[in-house]
Amino acid sequence: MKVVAADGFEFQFTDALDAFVFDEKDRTKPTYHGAPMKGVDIVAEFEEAYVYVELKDYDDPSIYDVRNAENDEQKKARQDSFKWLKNYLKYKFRDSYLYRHAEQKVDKPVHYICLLTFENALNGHMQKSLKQELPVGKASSRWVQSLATSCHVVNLQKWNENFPKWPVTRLAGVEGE
Amino acid sequence: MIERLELRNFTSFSKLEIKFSPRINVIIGENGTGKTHLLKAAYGLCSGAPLFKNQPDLDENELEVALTTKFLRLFMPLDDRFGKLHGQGATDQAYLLAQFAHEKKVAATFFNNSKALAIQDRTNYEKHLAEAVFIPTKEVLSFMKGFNSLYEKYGLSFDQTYQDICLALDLPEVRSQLLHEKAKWAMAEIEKICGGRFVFYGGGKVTFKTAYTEYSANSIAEGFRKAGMLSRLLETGAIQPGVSGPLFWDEPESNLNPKLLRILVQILLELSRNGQQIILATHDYVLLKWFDLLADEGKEDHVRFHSLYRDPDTSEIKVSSTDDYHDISPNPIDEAFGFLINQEIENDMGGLGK
Repeated sequence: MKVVAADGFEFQFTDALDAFVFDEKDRTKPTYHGAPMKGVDIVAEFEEAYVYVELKDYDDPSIYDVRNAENDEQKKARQDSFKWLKNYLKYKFRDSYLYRHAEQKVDKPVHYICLLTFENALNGHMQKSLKQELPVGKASSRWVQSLATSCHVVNLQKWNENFPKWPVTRLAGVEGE
Repeated sequence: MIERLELRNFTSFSKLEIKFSPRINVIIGENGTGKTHLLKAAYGLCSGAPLFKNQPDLDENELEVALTTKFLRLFMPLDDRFGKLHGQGATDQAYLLAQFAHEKKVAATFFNNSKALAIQDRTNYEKHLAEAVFIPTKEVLSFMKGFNSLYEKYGLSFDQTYQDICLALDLPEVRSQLLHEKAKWAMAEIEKICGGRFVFYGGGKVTFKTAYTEYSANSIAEGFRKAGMLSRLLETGAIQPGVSGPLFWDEPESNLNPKLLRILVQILLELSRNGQQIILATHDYVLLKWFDLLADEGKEDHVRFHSLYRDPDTSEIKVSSTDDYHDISPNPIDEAFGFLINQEIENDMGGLGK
């Protein structure tokens, strides 16, 4: 079993071959990211697939706090938070895929799961937009493989309901959903 | 304004108490959790207002007969037997209570063999004169011509909310200068949406007029006819912010294009800001979400969400009320979206993680 903690959540990947904090900032760790690229929070490897996990807490004030934005540009971006978040999730995936390509670790289907503390309806809306823009599947007739095989946006409850082998909990001291 | 409703051993409710916001109340719940029954029970108990308006010296017997008739016509129990409204299997008497603003209330009881309600408390009920309006699920403009006389003569299989709304729509319009400013605004917005206005000639005859011509109301989209009902109720003063009683609305979203729900919620919020209490039941996410997004604390908006659900252990219907959209629980509307998410994950990822 691989246990990974990131952004206030702890995942237990009971059947993973490997799982680690992908955007690791600690230089002393062997999984240190170290490239000028964005990175998803967690990558987990299984027999038949890779799973990228990105976490974003709806209540995270640093993303949605319009009043405390550093500049007008940031303020405008935050006001349009849904679009901003979609782009954020999109580019995190793409950079991570490129990074994994350089690692020669794109040999299995890649599933992208975003754990957002939105309600289901809004997650469904985000998922639809992300799927179109990542893109999921073969976007061109020239492609022989997909970047993302699938993309899902779920909240904590839905994650645990759909992935009982990968239970996730909030770490103590972090405000509950 | 109705502040509190209590129902015991009444239809599907064993014991339910609901405290209403003076502004906006949104009731959600799966089918069979009693949303419409709750609206009708509250509306029925509000019906003292028109009774006392017509007959201020109504005595207790007459009130009991009138309320019993109202409930029979609203709920249409099997074989018109009033006792059928008593909770099935309950051994105690059914109890209904409505508490209104300014210490006015009415409470009544009955058993499963009762032929009528027995009034238990009518404190200041005769002073409750603000008439409520109930907009049922279906629009009525397409069939209201002659509806009232047919209803009275043949006892059509429509509950009385349909007759009441047809009568309210057929009232003469209030002089424009007497209309509330926000009522005029709402009517103008609805006219913009519909591209014209419904004209009421009396006797239920309704047409639709644009700048150039006049059409049969039946040739106009159902959603527009529904919006037209709201406009007309404002025009007749049946809905008069600050004056009229609660507006009950069962599934406002039915027949309406989801894009129209934003302006509908804006209108309802404006009316509530001006003293109109609104109690509606919905299955619609978009409607629910617009209340969350458009309610403005700075304008003293207050939206209370009431979720009706069956207790998994006792199967009794219960209510969970909250003033915070994010705390609505259970939320069957969002759960429906959750089921879609589950299916997509199963389709795309198969047994991964399971």
